[in-house]
Amino acid sequence: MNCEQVKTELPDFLAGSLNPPAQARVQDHLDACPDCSELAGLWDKLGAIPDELPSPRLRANFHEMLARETAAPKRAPAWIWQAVAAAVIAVMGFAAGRSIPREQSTELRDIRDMLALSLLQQQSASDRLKGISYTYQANKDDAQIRDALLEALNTDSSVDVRLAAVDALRRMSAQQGISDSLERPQSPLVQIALIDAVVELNETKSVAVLQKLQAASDVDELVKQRARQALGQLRSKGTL
Amino acid sequence: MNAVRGGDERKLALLFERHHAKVYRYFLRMTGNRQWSEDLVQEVFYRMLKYRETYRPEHGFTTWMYRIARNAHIDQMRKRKWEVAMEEDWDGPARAAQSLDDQQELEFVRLALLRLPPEKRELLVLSRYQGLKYEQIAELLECEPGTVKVRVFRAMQALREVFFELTGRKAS
Amino acid sequence: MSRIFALLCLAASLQGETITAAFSDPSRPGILKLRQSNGSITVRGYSGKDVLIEANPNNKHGKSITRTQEDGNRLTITLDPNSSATIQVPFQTALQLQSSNGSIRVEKVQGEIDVQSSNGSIDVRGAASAVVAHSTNGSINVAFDKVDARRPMSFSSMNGKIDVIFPADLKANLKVQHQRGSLHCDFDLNTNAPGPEIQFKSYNGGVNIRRAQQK
Repeated sequence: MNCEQVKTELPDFLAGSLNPPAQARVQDHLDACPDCSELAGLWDKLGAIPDELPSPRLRANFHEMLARETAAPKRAPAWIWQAVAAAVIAVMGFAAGRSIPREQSTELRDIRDMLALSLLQQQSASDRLKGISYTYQANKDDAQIRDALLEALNTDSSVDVRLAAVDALRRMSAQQGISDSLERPQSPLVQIALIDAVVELNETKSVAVLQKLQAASDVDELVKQRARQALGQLRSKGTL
Repeated sequence: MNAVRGGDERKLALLFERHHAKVYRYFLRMTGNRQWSEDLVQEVFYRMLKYRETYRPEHGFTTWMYRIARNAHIDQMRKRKWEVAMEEDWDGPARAAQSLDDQQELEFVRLALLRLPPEKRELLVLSRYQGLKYEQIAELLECEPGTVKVRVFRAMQALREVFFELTGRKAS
Repeated sequence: MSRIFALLCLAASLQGETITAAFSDPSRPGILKLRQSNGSITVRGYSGKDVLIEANPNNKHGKSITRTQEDGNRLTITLDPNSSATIQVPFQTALQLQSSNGSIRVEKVQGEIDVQSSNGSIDVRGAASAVVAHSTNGSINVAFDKVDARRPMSFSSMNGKIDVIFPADLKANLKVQHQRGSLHCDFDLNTNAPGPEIQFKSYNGGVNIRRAQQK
C-alpha cells in the first residue's frame, strides 16, 4: 500500500471502521511511513486534548429561557414559584384544599400543577415526593400531570418516588400506563404496587401481562404469587 | 423530539440534559471562547424550541441539532467577522498530571486547530469529537461521504502545516 | 469571569490511604452521589469542607481505584466494584447512595439522605433532614435527631424490617402500607395532620416506629 492509497483509507482507519485485513494493511504502511504516521499521531493528539463542561450558569439560563418561552400569560415566571409555594403552604398546609372557597380554587390548582411538575424535576427525592403529593390536587384527567407521573414511575432513580407515583396514578385514569409499566423490568416492590393498582382499577388489558409475569423466570417469587392471586381476583370480579 | 413538536416543552429540558455538554464542546472547539460557547448553546436550544415544527423524524435528530448549531455559529461569526478568540482569552483547560512536554504539545495542537480555516476546523471537530459518522457529516454538509473523507484528510494535512508553523518541529 | 469546570480525578489508593475531593463552592451544601456493587459504604459528617475518601479493596493486598467527578457542587464517586469505603463529608451535605451487595451506614449527616440497597442493611444515625430509604432484602434502621417539618419522607422494604426513631415532638402525617409482619407505632397513624407525609411501605418485614426517649 502506498501513500496515495492510504489517503482514502486513513479517515476510516482513524474512525475505527475498517475491517481487520484493511486495518492491518494501513497499520503496516503507517509503521513504515513517518509522513503518514505523523498524521495519525496528530489525530491521536487531537483526541487527547482534555474535555470541558460548561458552567452551572448555562443550565440555569436554559431553564429561565424555557420557563419564559413556555409560560402562558397568566403563569408566573419560574423564580416566583418558591415565593408562591411558601405563601400557599403557609396559608393552606399540605393536605388542605378541601376548605378553599370555589372561586380561589382554580387559580391555586394551576399554581400547584406548576409546582408539581417543577418539583418532579428536582435532585432531591424528598422534593419529588412533594411534587407527587401536589398532583392529588390536580384534575384527574390532566394529561400533562399524568404523563409526568408515568415518567416518574418508569424512570425515577428512587424506588420510593416510583411507589408514590403508583399511588398517585391510581386516581388519574392511567390504566394503560400502569399496565405498560408492568411489562418493563422493575423493582419487586413497585411491581406489587402496580399489580395492586391493576386489581383495584379492574383492568382487563393487564391480564396478558399478569400471565406473563407469573410465568417469567427473572421475576421475584413473591411478585409471581401476587400476580397469580391478582388473576384470580380479576376473574372473580367477572373481568376474565 | 416529536413530543416537543406536540408542545411538551418539558421534553426539551430532557434533551438539554442529554445533549448540551456535547454541543458546548462543539462550540468551544470551534470558537475557543467559553462565554461565546455558552451563549451559542442557549441559542441552539432556543431555536430548537422555536423551530420545533421543522423537525422531521426521518432525517435524524442529531443531524437536525447540528444543523441548528452550525447556523447559530455562522450567524454569530458573521457578527464577529469570523474572529477566533485570541490566545490570551483562552484560560486553558485543567491540567491533568502529564509531563510538561506532552502538555505543551497538546496545547499547540489545540491552537493549531483554532487557527485552521473554519471549514477545515469544522470537519475535524465533527469527525473527531462529536461522534458523527461520515454519512451524517455528509448529510449535514450536503455532500457525498467520499468527499467528506477526502476533506478530512486534507484538513489533517493542513493541521500538520499549522502545527509545524507554531512549533517549528514535526509532530512526534 | 470565574473558571468553573468539571474536575475529573482518578486516584489509586492502598488500603488506609485517604483521597480528598473538593466541592466547587464549599460555602453551599453539596451533593454526594455514590453507587457501589460489592462493598459496604460508611459516610460520616465532620466539620471540614472537603470530602475525604478511604477506599478499601475487598482483597486486603490490592489497590483500589477511586474516580471522583465534581460539577457545580455535585460530587460523584465511583469506587472499585469490589471495595468498601469510609467517607467523611461536611455536615450539611446531601447524600444519594446506592448499593447492590453491601450495607450502607450514615452517621451525623444533616443534609437530605436518599439511600437504596438491594442486599444489604441500611443504618442511619443522627439524621436531621429528610430521609428516603429503600431496601429490597435488608433492614432499614433510622434514628432522627430532628425532623425538617416541611419535607416528605418514605421508607420502603420488600423483605426487611423497617425501624425508625423520631423525636418525641414529631408532628407529621404517618402512613403505613404493609402486608405481612408486625406493625408497632408509638405515634398516631393516618391522622391527616398538617405537615409532611411520612410513608412506610413494607411487604414482608415488620414496621416499627418509635418515639425517642426523653433525655
